[in-house]
Amino acid sequence: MKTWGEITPALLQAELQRIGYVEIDKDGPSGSTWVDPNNSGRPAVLVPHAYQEDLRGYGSLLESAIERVAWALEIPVSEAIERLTGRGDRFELRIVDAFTRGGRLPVIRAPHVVKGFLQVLRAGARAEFLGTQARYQGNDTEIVREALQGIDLLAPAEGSFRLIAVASLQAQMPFDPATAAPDNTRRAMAATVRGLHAAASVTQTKPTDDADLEPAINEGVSALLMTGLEEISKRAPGMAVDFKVKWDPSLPTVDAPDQGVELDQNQLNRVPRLATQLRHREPEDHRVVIGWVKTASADELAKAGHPSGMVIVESRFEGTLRRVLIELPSHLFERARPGTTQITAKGTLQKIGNRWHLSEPHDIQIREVGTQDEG
Amino acid sequence: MPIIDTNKVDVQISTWGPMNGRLRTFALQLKATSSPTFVGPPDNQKLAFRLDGDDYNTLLLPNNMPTFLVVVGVPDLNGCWVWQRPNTLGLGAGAWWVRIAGEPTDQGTITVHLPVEQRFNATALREMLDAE
Repeated sequence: MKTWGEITPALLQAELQRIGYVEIDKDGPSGSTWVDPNNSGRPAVLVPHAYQEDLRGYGSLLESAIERVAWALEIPVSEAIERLTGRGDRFELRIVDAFTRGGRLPVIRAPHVVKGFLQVLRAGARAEFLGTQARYQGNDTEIVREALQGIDLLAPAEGSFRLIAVASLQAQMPFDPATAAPDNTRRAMAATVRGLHAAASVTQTKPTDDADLEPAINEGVSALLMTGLEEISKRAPGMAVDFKVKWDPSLPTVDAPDQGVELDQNQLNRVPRLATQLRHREPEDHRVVIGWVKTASADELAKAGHPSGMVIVESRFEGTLRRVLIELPSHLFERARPGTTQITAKGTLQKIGNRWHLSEPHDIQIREVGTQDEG
Repeated sequence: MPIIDTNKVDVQISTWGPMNGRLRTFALQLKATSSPTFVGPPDNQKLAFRLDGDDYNTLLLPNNMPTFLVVVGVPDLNGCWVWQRPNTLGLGAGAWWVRIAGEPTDQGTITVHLPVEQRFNATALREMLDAE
């Protein structure tokens, strides 16, 4: 049975937005006040501040807010709880080994598991917003931090040992889930799932050649992700990990598998070596992309006749036809014509979100089909 | 919303809609006595009430909402609790309130003083709603 303890302020806020409420007071001493501007007969709802979780009245306020959501929806409280706990994307890690049977986790392993779980999510967020890379350096950027801050860890669930992260999303109302853009937290979680699927695939075998890792890196496998998996499985020989995902169907669609992924003992045994391999991999700065211009879009209304903008080039690499986004300065953008020009450019090829980007493009050549190269 | 002495709170009262821009809420810890003791000079009388040290300390803990102690004075079991006249329905009880402040105690019980002018009535409710 679902309990109200699984409900966070962020989940409540997302649900209130969905049902037409607006926030009229964000920083009240007890919480934020939400009302339905179109129906004054509905009760106002006070959502406690998450940062006041340790204060004495937090539980009562949360319970009160859930009850009021039930009143607003004219449904029983139990149904409101079901509705709220079913919202938001869920990403679950289940550890399967002899030590965790009975829903326990040896305390000595707990820090590694939680740290590893965070690293797996961080790897997804970095892949999404910094582009897929074999290894990342430096601290999280602001957008990565923002995406991770939208993810809450629920209290460990009953059963085998499980950690459940829930993305508490700011729903956009009204929206069509098929066309609206997913928010950053959801994108980070989707990238995490893509990366884990790629990790499961690449650990099926022992890739010896660095080039064999290329497709996996492009899908989000990184040293960070592997280190996260290594942390989770540390001190537990003979374990398997099972990641599950449940996408909230009412939210904007993301490009990520619906199915979870499991890494068995053999796969986990290959993780440390792969992590080292990825850690020592040099970043590829100078990939060459050659392709024809499929679309061109200007940044703004041209000033003095010199528009700049971006083009999407269709190019074949790693045996697949892909679309790559390249930003062009104005003197080159003017010459890029969809359907009639071909571009050759060098740069850092990265997958950012679902799209390939050629960052810091240089040595760009644009050629009208059927003419000589022009620099 | 009535709740049963969870976290030393007996009743939580909230406005239905926003009041001065936000939803207002507060909590009450209720106590009753059939032998209320009033102390002090006639122009500054106070209800003296012995409260468990544990209850007292809990009321001092940081809370997300204002919390008040309400002491209800009631007749003893054989007394007249309710009386009815042709034009009157009377309730033989009175209540006073205070917001506990100060230092925690390590004593088993502590006497708190509730000013008699702080009757728990409609005016008090309004004041409590404005306490945030």
